[in-house]
Amino acid sequence: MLTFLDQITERVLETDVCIVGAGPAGITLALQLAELGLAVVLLEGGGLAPPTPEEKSLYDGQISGRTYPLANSRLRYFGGTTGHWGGWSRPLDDIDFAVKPHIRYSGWPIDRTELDPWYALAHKWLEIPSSEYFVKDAPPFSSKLLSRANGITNRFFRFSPPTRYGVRYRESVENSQGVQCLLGANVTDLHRNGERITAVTARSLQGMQIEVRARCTVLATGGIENARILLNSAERSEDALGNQHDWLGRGFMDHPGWSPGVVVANKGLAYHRFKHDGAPVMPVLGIADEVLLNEKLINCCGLLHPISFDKSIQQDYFNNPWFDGMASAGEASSYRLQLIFEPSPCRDSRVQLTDKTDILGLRKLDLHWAFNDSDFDMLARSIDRFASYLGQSGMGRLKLRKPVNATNTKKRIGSGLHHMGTTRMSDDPATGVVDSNCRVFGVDNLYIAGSSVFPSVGFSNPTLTIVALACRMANHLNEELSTS
Amino acid sequence: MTIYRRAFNRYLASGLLIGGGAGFIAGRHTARDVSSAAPLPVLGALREAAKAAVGVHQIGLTAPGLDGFSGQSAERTLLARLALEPGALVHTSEIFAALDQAIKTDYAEHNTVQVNEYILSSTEALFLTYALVQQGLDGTTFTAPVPEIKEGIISAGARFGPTYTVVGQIFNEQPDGHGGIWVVAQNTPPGTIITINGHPIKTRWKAKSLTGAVYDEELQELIARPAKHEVSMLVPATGIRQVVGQLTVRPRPPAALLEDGTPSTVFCEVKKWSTLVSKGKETVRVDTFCGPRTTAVYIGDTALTTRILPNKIEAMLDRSVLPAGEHPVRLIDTLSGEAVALGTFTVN
Repeated sequence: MLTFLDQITERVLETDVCIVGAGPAGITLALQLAELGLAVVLLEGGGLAPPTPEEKSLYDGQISGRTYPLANSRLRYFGGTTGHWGGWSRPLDDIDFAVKPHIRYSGWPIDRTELDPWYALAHKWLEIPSSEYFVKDAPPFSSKLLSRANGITNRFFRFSPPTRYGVRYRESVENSQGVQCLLGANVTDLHRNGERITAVTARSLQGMQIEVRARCTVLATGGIENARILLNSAERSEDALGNQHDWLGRGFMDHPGWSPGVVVANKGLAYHRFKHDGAPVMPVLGIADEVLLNEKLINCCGLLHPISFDKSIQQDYFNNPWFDGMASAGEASSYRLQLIFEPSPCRDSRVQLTDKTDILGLRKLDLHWAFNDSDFDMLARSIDRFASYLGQSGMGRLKLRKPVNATNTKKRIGSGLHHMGTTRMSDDPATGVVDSNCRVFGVDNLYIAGSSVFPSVGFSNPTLTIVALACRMANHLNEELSTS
Repeated sequence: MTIYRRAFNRYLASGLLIGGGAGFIAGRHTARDVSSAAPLPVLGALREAAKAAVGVHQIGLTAPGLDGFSGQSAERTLLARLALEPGALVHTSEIFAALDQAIKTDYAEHNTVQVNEYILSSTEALFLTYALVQQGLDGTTFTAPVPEIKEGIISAGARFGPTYTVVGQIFNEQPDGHGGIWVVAQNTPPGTIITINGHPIKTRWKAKSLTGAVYDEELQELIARPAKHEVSMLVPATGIRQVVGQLTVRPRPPAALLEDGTPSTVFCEVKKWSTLVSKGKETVRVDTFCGPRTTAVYIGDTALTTRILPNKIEAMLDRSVLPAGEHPVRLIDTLSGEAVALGTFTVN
């Protein structure tokens, strides 16, 4: 069922699970739970159309760190941010789940194998035709990829159409017997009694109010708003929920993108988006896991966008004998190297509350997006690894536009608009907000869905992992609620 | 492999392959002895290899550390890098084989230098420098005094752009944030550069045009206040300079107001906006002097493909992707999130 809060007469609803936020995490979780026979109330602050200025104002806040499109990078309506995502998909790498000794607070309390079955399911939700990410030597790749050697490897992205959840799953929600989705229902309070959430209060912008009493509550409002709702819970209790060790809101991460320079290599390389056998696949250059660990590097990937030949070097130069890795008759081409890299968890990069309040009375946020300086040292060495790979393999050369250091790089990086890390997962309450089942530490029946739980983020776009975690959470909640 | 055959043929054609050829080139890639010439003393083979290397001058001409380059010291250093004994007899192909190995070892050990911003093996850079000398390309290039600058005509009818911007607005902003200047000029000598107020800027030369780039602090200084900056072409080898015009930095118009009534930090006032149809394509045109490259014209929640010009912002309009109804039209800086409301647009 799908309706607006203002259109129902009940003022108290009782259910098995209350999910706050109808984006990819919330909708996936709601429909999965309903399939398992559980009753779900799904609260969505927005409506079915893109948010009005008034609705959008709920996302307003201030920026105290790097500039960030706080309001425009999020969509407060049914379907959430899938309304403007690009569909880039790939699971996190094994190495992203591992604790990397050289990166403080890195790693997940679960490993990749824990998520693998849920990744398979997530591909179906996101309408990605295959979950195969290793396309060894398959045409047309064989002649369009650089050899895997000297610590550099090929990795792959696949693409969702992209699935717009608000369109694709609207009918499923409308027709679901188990899901009651209320639009225009903005959560304003989480009521706590001891170690349990007893009720959730939601209000419409017209002033209608409802209380949802659920056996479990899940926040699925996105990587920024999840933290804001929990931080606002401090208004009612001594500490904000899940903030016993001052991690709530900290560790905000996004995927920085940057073009450090130009690669000259064989013509016709395929490290940019293109279609393959009807399924969109995109190879990227990556660094092998063992090299990331041994050389204390940051995970990153490189795309190569064809550009006109860089005239500061002669094409003829690549006919010299030390370019024996260039296979296509020495016809060198230039490519703009685009890197997407993994930031390390940074406690100073955070969401916190300001004294200003929104139209619902919740305190607005301040986003301070920052990096550890060590990221740029690791990044410089990662770029050097790419340069060495090209030279060592006789496959080309790398030209840097500017020296790679924190000052130059910080000026030029862009963001992927992926909000992650503000309610990080950990097996220890001292270093996280949720446990390995995404349950908020110290609260028995409060869970977090979405990329805010990512403690490490690799370079993969987050939506596939968000949906995989939601599928896993549905399974976990079903087991919990069946036995309790 | 084709490359080796091509290089090998080049050496044969130029009469430079004196060595036996049984080693690196022939042995690895053609599996036959293609030359019966006797080996040379190692220095002779090194010189021949240096002469045979192709495409070296454009890299090496601006290589750092070339001043005071001594042929003899370079040869000693190179032989040591290539692990060749000074008294040995070798084929030229063996020089290349040793060079190939040394270059790859350098990369493996991160023994690299930057030349023309390229990350090169240090042995590679040294060999290129040596090759310049051996190919007669060093000469006056490295030792001649800088010529006196004198006004002259490099290319009649040269024109340039952009010719103006406003304070704080990066002119012809490129994806990495630098400001771009172009000069259309026929028959300029290779190596001709653009200068602004007499200062050379990074320039890419083409037969019919030059493109220049201004970065960071220099860029901010140029657009910090109203001014006229002289744009010239300069041929460094001869010192001839030709003024092509002035880049005018006009006072910045008043700031546009954001939707909450506060002044924008990135947009200035919009004189008008309209939709135009030309050659079957429809565009949204916004007459304004300011807009960062991260600007997008939004119709409703749909971002249009947008480009920033000195006096306007243009966006491609495809009605077919827009739902029917009335939509707000806004300029949004996707980096800062600042939004300026322009009006509404109706799709029937």
